[in-house]
Amino acid sequence: MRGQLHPLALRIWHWVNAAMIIVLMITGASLRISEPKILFGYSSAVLIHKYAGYAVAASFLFWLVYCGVTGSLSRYYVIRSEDLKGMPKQAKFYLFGIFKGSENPFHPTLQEKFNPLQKVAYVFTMCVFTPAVIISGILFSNILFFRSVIDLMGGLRVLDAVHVIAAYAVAVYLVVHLYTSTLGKTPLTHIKEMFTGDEDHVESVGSSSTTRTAG
Amino acid sequence: MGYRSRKNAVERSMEKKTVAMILLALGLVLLLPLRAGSQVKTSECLDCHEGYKGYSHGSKSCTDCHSTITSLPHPNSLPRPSCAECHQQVVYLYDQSVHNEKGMACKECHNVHFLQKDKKRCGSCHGNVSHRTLPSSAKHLDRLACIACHGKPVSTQMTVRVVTKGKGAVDPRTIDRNGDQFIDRDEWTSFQGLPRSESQGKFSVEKSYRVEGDMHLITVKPVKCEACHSAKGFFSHARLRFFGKTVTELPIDASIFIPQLPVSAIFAQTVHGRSGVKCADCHTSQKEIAQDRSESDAVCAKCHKEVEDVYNNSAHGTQGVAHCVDCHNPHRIRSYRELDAEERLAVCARCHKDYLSRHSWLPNTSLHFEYLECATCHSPSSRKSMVFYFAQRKQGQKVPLRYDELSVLVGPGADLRNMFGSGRDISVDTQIGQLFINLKKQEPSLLIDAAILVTKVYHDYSITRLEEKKCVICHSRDAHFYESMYFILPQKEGPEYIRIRGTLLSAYPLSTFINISLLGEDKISKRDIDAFLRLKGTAKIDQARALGFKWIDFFGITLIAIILIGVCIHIILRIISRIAVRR
Repeated sequence: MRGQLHPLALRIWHWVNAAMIIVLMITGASLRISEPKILFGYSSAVLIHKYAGYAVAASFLFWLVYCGVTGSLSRYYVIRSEDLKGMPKQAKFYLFGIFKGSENPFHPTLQEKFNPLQKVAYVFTMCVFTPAVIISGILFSNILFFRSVIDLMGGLRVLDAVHVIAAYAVAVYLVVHLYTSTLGKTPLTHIKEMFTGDEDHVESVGSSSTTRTAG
Repeated sequence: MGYRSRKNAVERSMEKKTVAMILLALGLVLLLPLRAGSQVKTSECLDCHEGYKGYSHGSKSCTDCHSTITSLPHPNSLPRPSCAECHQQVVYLYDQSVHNEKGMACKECHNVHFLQKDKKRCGSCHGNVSHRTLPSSAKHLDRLACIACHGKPVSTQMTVRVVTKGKGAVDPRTIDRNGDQFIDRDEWTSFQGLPRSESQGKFSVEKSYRVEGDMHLITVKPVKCEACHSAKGFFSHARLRFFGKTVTELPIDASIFIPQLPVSAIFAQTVHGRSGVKCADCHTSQKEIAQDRSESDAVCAKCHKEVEDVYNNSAHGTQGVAHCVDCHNPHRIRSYRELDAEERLAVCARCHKDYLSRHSWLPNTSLHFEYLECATCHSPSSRKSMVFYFAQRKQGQKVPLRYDELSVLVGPGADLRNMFGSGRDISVDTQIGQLFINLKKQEPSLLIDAAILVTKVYHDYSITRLEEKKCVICHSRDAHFYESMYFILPQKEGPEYIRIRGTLLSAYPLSTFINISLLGEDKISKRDIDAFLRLKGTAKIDQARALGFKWIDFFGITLIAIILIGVCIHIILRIISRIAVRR
């Protein structure tokens, strides 16, 4: 079975999404740090944040539809009992094995793309934090229009809290994701794969020698 | 000897009595004619009162006025003759005059015995009247009779004599171009501008102002400027006597010659008018004051010295960019409180037209300008208050509610003051918010609006805040206006200002104050954390609670920092292990 671990559509989505999230992180920080002009002018930060937010919302929708239609959502984004069992083993590898030169206990296949830790992180990020940050962001985009919904949630401060907590979670994920992407054979292996699609390495179940660790 | 002497004495006594009797009889005979005719001839009076020879008071005789003299000799003391017996109307008017009020008698102006002698005019007593407060006093004094201003003119007429000179005198139609038998301003202007050839030489214009009235009625106060300088002034029906080819007389627009004060009607309503400022308090001359602006500032400073001092030391003053009248029209002046924030902003925007683009750095620029005025930020020394009021959205506009509109919502006759509950301490966070929710159930269009208003302005707007741009000046619990907050409650008798306390910083859990909500909250600071660490027991818990949403940033940043440290350690260990493996 020959297939791409990262189909072209997902690769494009990944990098567009990444760029937008970086923009959101920077503008979000300059909004949060309420003295303007530190990173951005306040007004321009608001504007950029707003439209980058819309872009991420659209890209998330694309991802959801794409993964739903291709079945990768049910294939890769459901935490099973084996995953929970595999978590300590994977954590042990990252904390100790990786320094000793041990082999990664997980090998990505078209059937199982993410290692257990990676899967948990992805599921929370893509199914909890990202939707939370997007929905709260959409509510923020027109406070007066969504007023009744915001009131129902408990007010603006609560909405603000949801958005910011979710944003911090995504930020934490981003740091980990960026670092673990360097844990391949060479530091740039996974990053290259994300451009090329990993064609050469995954051909069939169990035939790959690549260690897949990008979290 | 004895007998002879006795006889002589008796005879002498008899003789004396006889002489006395004769004299008495003579006296009686002399007096008889007077008594019989009740008339003392003027000539008889003048026999004694030689000084009055040649007196003149019409055809009157002495006793016409000195009517108590019926015979001669008359008593030394005579009652004062009454002028009113003949001059009833004049005396009636005089009684109302300022001269009468000052106790002046007729004879002080009129030499009653020699009417043509010592004729008194106004100037005889008021010789050196400077009329310092009268604008263009020389012009006014030269052209107008005293009674025009100091009396009650019964008839006034302005006549403009235009005499054309030269060989061929001008046709009247040259001036009344549209033939409507009235000379309006345009016609007059074009007539004046006629080229020499057309007007066929020079023409002279003479203006005369005829005032008829009774000199006896000199009023206590002079008339106001508007008596002449208005559309219905004394000389508003002016006539033009045109000496051209023929002599023509036409009505002419008087305002061409007598400038009408455009503000005379409004001025009384202005804060200046209400506080008794008179035209001449500022206009000491007819020369337009505004022509020299530093001069106009000096006029304002006559009363507003304190403001001038502040203003002159401000950026506006030192750079000389704007003067009092650039912002304030003294004829239409309204007090600061009479202007709403939008109108006040419009004053600044006359020059600072680009105020919106200059404030583009300000998040929600237009929203800020809905609730603030320029002086809120640019005049830190101005006194400010945050005011709340009931408003209703009508056709997209927020309109403050009146008493009658609000009482419909809360029930007629209800004491609006009770809406806030019994407590004296009214808080934004609880009472106002709760009230808002209650009322909103009854009327969805109802809202509580707020504004930050300047209650006492300080004329120094030098602070540009270009460097600051700090949201926390207002968006923090320490914002200056929180010290002065009022709820304006419309009452039957007028608005009641109820003092309230609290802050608006998303204090209310429901975002009911969404329109006026101040989203920003001060960031967590080292001070907050130090305080938290220092405190113990319940105080620590209280501090933790007080920090509220600030913990999000604390934990978020801390978590990211820990992970970054972890990553660094991981990298170092990877490098070390790789080196170790190679060896």
